[in-house]
Amino acid sequence: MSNNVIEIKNLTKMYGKNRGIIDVSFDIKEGEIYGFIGPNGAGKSTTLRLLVGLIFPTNGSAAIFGKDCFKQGNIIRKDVGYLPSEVFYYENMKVMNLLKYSASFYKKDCTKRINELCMRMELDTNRKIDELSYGNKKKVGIVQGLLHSPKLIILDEPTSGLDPLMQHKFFRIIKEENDKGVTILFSSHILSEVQKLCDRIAIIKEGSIIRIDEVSELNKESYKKFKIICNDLNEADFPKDGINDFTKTNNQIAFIHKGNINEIIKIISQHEIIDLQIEEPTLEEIFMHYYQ
Amino acid sequence: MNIYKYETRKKLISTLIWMISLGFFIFSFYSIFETIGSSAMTDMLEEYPEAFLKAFGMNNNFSTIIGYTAMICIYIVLCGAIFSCNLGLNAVSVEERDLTADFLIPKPITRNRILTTKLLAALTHILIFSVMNSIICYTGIEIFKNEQEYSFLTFLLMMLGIFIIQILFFTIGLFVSVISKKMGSPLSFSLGLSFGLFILNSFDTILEGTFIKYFIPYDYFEFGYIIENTAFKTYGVVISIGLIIAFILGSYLLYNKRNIATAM
Repeated sequence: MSNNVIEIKNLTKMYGKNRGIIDVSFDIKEGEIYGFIGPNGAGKSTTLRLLVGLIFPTNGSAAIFGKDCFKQGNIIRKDVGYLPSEVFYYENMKVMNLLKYSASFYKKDCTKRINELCMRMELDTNRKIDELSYGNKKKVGIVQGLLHSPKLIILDEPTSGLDPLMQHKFFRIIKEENDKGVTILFSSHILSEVQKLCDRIAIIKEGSIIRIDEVSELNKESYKKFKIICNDLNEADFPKDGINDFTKTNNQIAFIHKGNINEIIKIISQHEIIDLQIEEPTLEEIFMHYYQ
Repeated sequence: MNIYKYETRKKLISTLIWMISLGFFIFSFYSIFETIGSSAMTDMLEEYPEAFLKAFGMNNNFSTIIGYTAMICIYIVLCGAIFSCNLGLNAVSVEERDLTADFLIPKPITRNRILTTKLLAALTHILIFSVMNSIICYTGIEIFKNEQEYSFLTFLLMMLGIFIIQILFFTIGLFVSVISKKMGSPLSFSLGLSFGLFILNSFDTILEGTFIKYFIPYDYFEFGYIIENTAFKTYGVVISIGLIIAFILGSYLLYNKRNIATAM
């Protein structure tokens, strides 16, 4: 018995001759927060839409809770909450009616949960959906995805359109769900978002997974951002390998280094330093320079 | 059940508007039966070439209330075809056009259930449409028949014929919507199909009994034939039921494999 909630094997989706995703494989363990990272058009949405049964694969398999996504999808989806990247709802409905309609698909009473979530997300449930702003529609989407207390939550770019305060609230709710044992898979193109929240991430590029790792491992891999003020240091003084994003303005040098930090310290120590800062680069910076 | 309830309620107003306007039209048509059905009028119509009368469905005997009803029914069937075809085209494609499929399909239901409930909701509307029409026509006949005798069975067969034609147009619409990648403008398609076949039907009536008739739903339940024989054309019933089953099965098959398009 594995405790994998999601198992994806060699999943391929072609749209005619156009690439969707190619040979994507990864597993998500129970209780994990899993980030799915990649630039726009890399295939994040395609993967998530396959998991919830909106589209069918050209090849490969995917299972959730040990069941085949494409044959037993309706059973699986009882315990799955999904937030699409673009939220569109039946426009003539009031928010509350839509949420009740959504709840009617699950055989349980969700009223308490709806009220609680709406209050926390500051959502006015008497408004009509077509009167809402994009951010507010997104909130409806979030409540709609969580109201039946699913065991797996799949979120496609959940924070786009939310203001920072709401993003913060949203992440708190996600974290709370996770503490209850809920597994979370969400996609994003903002790395700092993922870095804060996720246990593991998969990086997807042009339809293929290029790396899967624990966020802590990724952070540990000793990427350091150096800022040095020194009068007699030049790019040529440093080794070529592992140095990226080198800039020099007047006597200020900045770069990101991957590898053994002692190499750099040794070089620096032979010079007269005015100031030195060593920082953790964000995942974004790592991603930018090492996964292009 | 929830989808059925929602779907039925959503379209109720549109069906109601159809009913009110069509009902008004039918009723006012019946109210001039006495004038049009009079001998002066029929004499005048006899002056017109037969082909012309056939093309406009005026070849039935207007002086009888049932012949008069047949003429009115030509307009009802045309409206019914547009109405039903539109229902079929929109049934599932509207979810994709409004991008609400991303809401509906990730719910714990099968594609089959989505299609079945939508089918039932649409059938309910077609049934409402047909029953209301029949009641309005029946009332019109009873009020304006001028003591004439008529066969109630013939009347019922005509109404049933219209109902089956509507179901057929609905399934055509449904099938077209699941084979096409993206449904752009459903109304123009249903108008085009309904009128196109109607015009084809006029040609066929003038030319009499060409093979084209097998492709025209209106011909399957031609009112003149029903009045004469108090029965349906056998091939009409066979073809229409066969097509309905084929289109429904095809729709289920395709919808279960359908990839839902994204916003982009």
